[in-house]
Amino acid sequence: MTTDVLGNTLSQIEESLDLITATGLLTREQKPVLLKDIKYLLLDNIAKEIKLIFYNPDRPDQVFLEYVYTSSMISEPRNMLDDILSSDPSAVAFDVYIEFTRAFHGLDRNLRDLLQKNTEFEWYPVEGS
Amino acid sequence: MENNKILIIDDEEIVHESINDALEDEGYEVISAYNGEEGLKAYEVHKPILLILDLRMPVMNGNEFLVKLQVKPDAPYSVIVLTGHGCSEDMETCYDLGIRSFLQKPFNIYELRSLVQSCINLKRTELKLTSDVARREDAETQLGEYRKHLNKMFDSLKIDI
Repeated sequence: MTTDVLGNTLSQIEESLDLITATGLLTREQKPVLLKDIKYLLLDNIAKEIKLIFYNPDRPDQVFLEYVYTSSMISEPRNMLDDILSSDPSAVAFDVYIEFTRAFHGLDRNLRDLLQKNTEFEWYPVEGS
Repeated sequence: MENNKILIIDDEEIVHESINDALEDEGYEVISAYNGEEGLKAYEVHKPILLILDLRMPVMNGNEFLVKLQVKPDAPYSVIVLTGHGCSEDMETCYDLGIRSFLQKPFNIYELRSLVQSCINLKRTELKLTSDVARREDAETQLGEYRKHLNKMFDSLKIDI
């Protein structure tokens, strides 16, 4: 992987966040903050994989779509999300899931906390993490 | 007094904080710059023995900084590059531009301290060797001059005899 690949990945993530902002799921103020945090987590080798999971807020187990980002790969499958959003934007919510790198797991607790606090995310542990 | 100045060039405050915390207790004087341009100015003012450089920065990135700095093998400093995703191509470019080593992000303070210590020790040893070699060359030149002078005196003595 070259840094150009990573640069392209980050540019594509920015474009995707622009599209999500256009749907109203993300505000114009939230978008640059989320983008900055995603860039930081990928560039500093803290996140191995970042997922944006779009789900039904009334039934969180009903996942409509997952966008998956790593430092070298993007997966953004197309599906009915646009249709759902165009009919009822409140019918969709999304959360960000981070899978940490082995290097990050290898750090001591204080340093991990410090690096996590360098984002605007509110962190919640997920089962198995 | 030995040069113990370390210049950190990175656009992320968190990197400055964590490196500062890890190195100031060890007796190093840590100086901060937030892009390559600031880094060049800070280098000129402080003349550190070690530079810790990020590659991705606004205004002037790490590669551009290295090109401007023109690191030579006998430079009085070493450069460590911080990277989250170093590929062999980037590494080759950085080594060609004269850096000493890479440090993979995220790093723990023991890795950092150990690498910093070994880079500085190596650079001090190199500088001492360079200065010893220069002194020896001076001494040999002087010795050659004395020898010539003695030979001349000896030759004149022989004529007198």
